[in-house]
Amino acid sequence: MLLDVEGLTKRYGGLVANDAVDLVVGEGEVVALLGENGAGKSTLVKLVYGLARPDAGRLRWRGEEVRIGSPRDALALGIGLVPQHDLMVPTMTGAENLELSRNLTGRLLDLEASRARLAELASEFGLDVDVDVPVERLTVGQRQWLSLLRVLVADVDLLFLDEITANLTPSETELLFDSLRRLRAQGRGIVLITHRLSEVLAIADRVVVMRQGRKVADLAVADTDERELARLMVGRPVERISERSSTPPGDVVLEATGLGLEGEERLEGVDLAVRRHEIVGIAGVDGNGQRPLIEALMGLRPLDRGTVLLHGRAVVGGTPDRRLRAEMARVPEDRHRHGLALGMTLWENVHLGRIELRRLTRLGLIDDRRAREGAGGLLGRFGVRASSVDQQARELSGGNQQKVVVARELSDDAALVVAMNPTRGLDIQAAAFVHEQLVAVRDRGGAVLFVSFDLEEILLLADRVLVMSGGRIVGGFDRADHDPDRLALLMGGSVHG
Amino acid sequence: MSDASSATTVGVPRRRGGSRRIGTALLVNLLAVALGLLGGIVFIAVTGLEVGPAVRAILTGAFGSPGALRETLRQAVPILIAGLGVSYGLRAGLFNIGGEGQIYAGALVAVIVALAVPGLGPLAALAAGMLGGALWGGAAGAMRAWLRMDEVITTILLNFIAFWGVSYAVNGPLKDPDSSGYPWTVQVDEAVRLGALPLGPVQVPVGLLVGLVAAIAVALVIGRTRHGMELRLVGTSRSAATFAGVPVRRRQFQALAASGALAGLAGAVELIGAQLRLSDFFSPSYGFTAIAVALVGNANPYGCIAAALAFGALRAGAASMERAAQVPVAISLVVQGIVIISLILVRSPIVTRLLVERLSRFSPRRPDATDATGEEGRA
Repeated sequence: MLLDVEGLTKRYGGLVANDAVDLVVGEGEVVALLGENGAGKSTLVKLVYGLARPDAGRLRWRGEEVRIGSPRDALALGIGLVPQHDLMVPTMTGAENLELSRNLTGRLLDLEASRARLAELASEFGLDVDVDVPVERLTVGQRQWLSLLRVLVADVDLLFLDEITANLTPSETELLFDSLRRLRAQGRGIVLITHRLSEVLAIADRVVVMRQGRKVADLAVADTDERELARLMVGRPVERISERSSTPPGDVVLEATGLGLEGEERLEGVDLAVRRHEIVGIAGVDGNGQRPLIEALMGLRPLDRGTVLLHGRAVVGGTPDRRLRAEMARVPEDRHRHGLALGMTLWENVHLGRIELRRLTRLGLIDDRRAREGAGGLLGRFGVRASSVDQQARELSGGNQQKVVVARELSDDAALVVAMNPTRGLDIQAAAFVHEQLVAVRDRGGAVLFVSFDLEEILLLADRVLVMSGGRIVGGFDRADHDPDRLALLMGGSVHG
Repeated sequence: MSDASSATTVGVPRRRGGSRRIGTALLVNLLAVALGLLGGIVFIAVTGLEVGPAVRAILTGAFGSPGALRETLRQAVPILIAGLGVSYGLRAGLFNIGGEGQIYAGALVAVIVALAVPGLGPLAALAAGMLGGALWGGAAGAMRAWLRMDEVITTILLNFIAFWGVSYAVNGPLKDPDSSGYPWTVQVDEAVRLGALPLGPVQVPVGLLVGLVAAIAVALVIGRTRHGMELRLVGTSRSAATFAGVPVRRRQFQALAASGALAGLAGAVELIGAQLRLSDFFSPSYGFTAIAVALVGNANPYGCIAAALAFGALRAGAASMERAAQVPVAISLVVQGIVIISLILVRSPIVTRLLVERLSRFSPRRPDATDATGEEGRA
C-alpha cells in the first residue's frame, strides 16, 4: 500500500470542499478520480500534495502516518503531481526549466545532466519532445510530456495527473496511456484525475467517484460501465424551482451561425439560437469552448468566422459597442475583472456603461444625487447588503458583489441576457436569488443564454440544454426529455448528436 | 432575499461619503511630508549648519511679510497647475512624469503666440500654452495607447527633447538680439501679461486664480462627467472598462493629452504671469515638484491646492534661507525627494503586503481564502 488517506476534510469558509474523503492507492495501480467541476477532486490533490492543509483526517504513506506541509515534503516522500496547466517558463527550454525546478538550493547549474536525463526518460517512455527549444514553441501535448518528464526525473512512486488529458488529442492521450502502463508495470501508483468516462475505462484499475466534496463510490473498473459512472458522477437532479414558462418560445432574439475561433481554446462551427420566453443553458466540462463563445457573444473578443445576429441585425465583434449594451445584458464570469470596478463606489458601478446615465446628465455634469438615489433603490430591490452607495465595490462580499452586477445588467430590461457561471462562488441563497432573476427575465418575455459548469444549475434553470465539447455543440435536448445519463455521456465526449 | 425589504438595505447618505478613506490618506500624506521635513532638518544638521536659524529663515521667507506671502503664492502657481495635470493622468492610471517637458513645450508655443500677435491678449497665450503641452503629452499618450510604450519612459525622454528644443530656440531664432548673450527671448508685451490683484497688503498673482479655476474644472471633469467617470474606470480596471464599452485606448490618449495641456498651461501662466520671457533655465524643475504635489494631494484637485501651497512655501522659504542662513536652496529638493519616496513607499503594494503579513501574524486568521481572484491590473 502506497497511500492511505482517511477522513480527509477541508472547508473553505462555509463550503465543505472535501467531506471525510478516503482514498487508497496501491503499488502498480491506476486509480481514476472521477467527478464534475467542483466535486472536490482538485482539493483532494492539493491536500495530498501539500498545497493546502486538511482540517481533519489522516494521511499514511507506506503504512506510516505522515504530515505533508509543502510540495517539497510530498516530493521527498515520492509523491509527484503533474498539474493541469504546466508551470514552465515559456521562454526557456525544457532542460532549462527542469534545471530551474531542481536548482532551488543554489548549487551550480548542470544543464548537460538535466538534458541527458530528460532525453533518456523521453526515449524510455516513447514521448517525443525536443528538450532544447523554448517551451513556448512546443505544442500543448509536448509541453504536457515535459511536465510529466519533469516529475519522473524526481523518481516518484506515486503520480497524480490533474486533468492533463484535457488538452490532448486522442492519439496523444493514447501515447500517454502507453507511458502510464509502463509506469504501472514498474510498480508505481498513478492517480488520474478526470471527468472523461472513456479514459477511466481505458486505463484505470479502480475508480473513485466524487460528488459535492464526498466520495460516493469506489469501484473496480471491471465491475462497472459508463452508464453507471455517469449516474454516479451527476447524481439525481434536484427539484426544479423554475417550471417551464407557460408561454411557448417566441421570436428568435439571438442567432449565431458558424462561429469559429482559433487559439488555445477553439470554436469550431457553433450554431445556436435563443428565442423569447426561453432559457438556454450550455452544459459542458470547463475548457471546451464555452468561455470563448461567451466572450465573443459579449463582444469581448473578435470572431474568426461566423456571424452573430441580435434581432436579425449583425453584431460587430471585438469591443462591446453601446448599441449592444442596450439590448444585451451581460453577466460576466469574473466579477472582479469584468463585472465591477472594485475601486469605485457602488453607485458608480451601478451606472457603468449604462444608457441611463445620459438621462441623468445635465450640461455635461452627472446629477450625482439622482444617480445615487437611483442606485440605492435598485440595489435595495436586489437585496444588496451595503451600508451606503458610496462604499467601494471591493468592500462587499462576493455574493453581494454578484448581486450588484446582476442588478445593473438586468435593470434596463434588455431583450437578451447572456451569463457565464452566474452563481460561481455564491452561497445557496444568493444563487437562488440570481436564478429567480433569470427566470423572471424569461417570464417577462426575455431570452436568456447561460453557460454553467454546474450540471445541477443547468438542469434547474434551462428550458433547453446544449452540450459543448471540443469547441462544438455536440448535442442538445428540451428539458421535457432530458436524461442525466445521456447528458453526462455527451459531456464526457462519449457519444455525439 | 426578496423584494420585501425594498430600498432599506442600501443607504443613500446626503453627504458625500468615503470620509474615512480620505482621512486615512490625509494622515499618511501628512506623515510623509513630516518625514520629508525631518529629513531636511537632518540634512541641514549633518552639513554642520545650525538648524534653528535655518528653519526660522524658511518660515520668515515663506510667511514673514506680504512680500514673502506673495512669493509663496507665486511659487505655488505653476506647481499647482502642473500638479493638476499629473493628477489628471493618475486618475486614468497613467503616470505622467513629463510635466517639465510639457511646461517647456507649452511655454514655447505660448511665447511664440504672445510675441507674434500680442493683440490677442493673455487668453490666447494661455490657450497656446495648453496646445503646446497637449501636443507633448498627447505624443506620449499616443505611444502609450496604440504602441503600448510605457508612458513613464516616454514622458521622461520627451522632457529632454522639449528642454533642448527650447534651448535651441532661445539661443537661436527666438533669441533677444539685445540680451548681451543671455539665452532668452524678449519680454512679452504689456497687453499679454497677467498682473496681480491686491488682497489686503498681499499682491495675489492672477495666475493663482487661473490655477484655482483649473482645479475646479478638473474636479468637475474627473468627478462629475461621464468622460471623467470613464477615465477613472480605465484607471481602476482596464478590463472592466473594456467590458463596459469604454474605448480604453482613446481615453488613455485623451488623458495624457489633457494632462500635458495642464502642464503647458502652467508654463504659459509662468511665462506671462511671472518671468515674462522664455529662457533655457525657465523651469526650476516645476514639473517634478508637480509630481510631489499630485502625490501629496492624493491626485485630488483640492488636495493639490493645499499641497501646492505647502511646496510653494517650502520653495519660497528655502530660497530666502539660502540668502539668510547660507543653507543651499537644494534643501527644498531634498525635502521634496524624501516626501515623494515616502509616499511611493507607503503605496507600494509590496510594502503594503509586508505590513499586512506582519500584522496578520498577530491575528489567527487562516491565510487561504476561497474566492480570492487576484489583484487588479497595474495600479
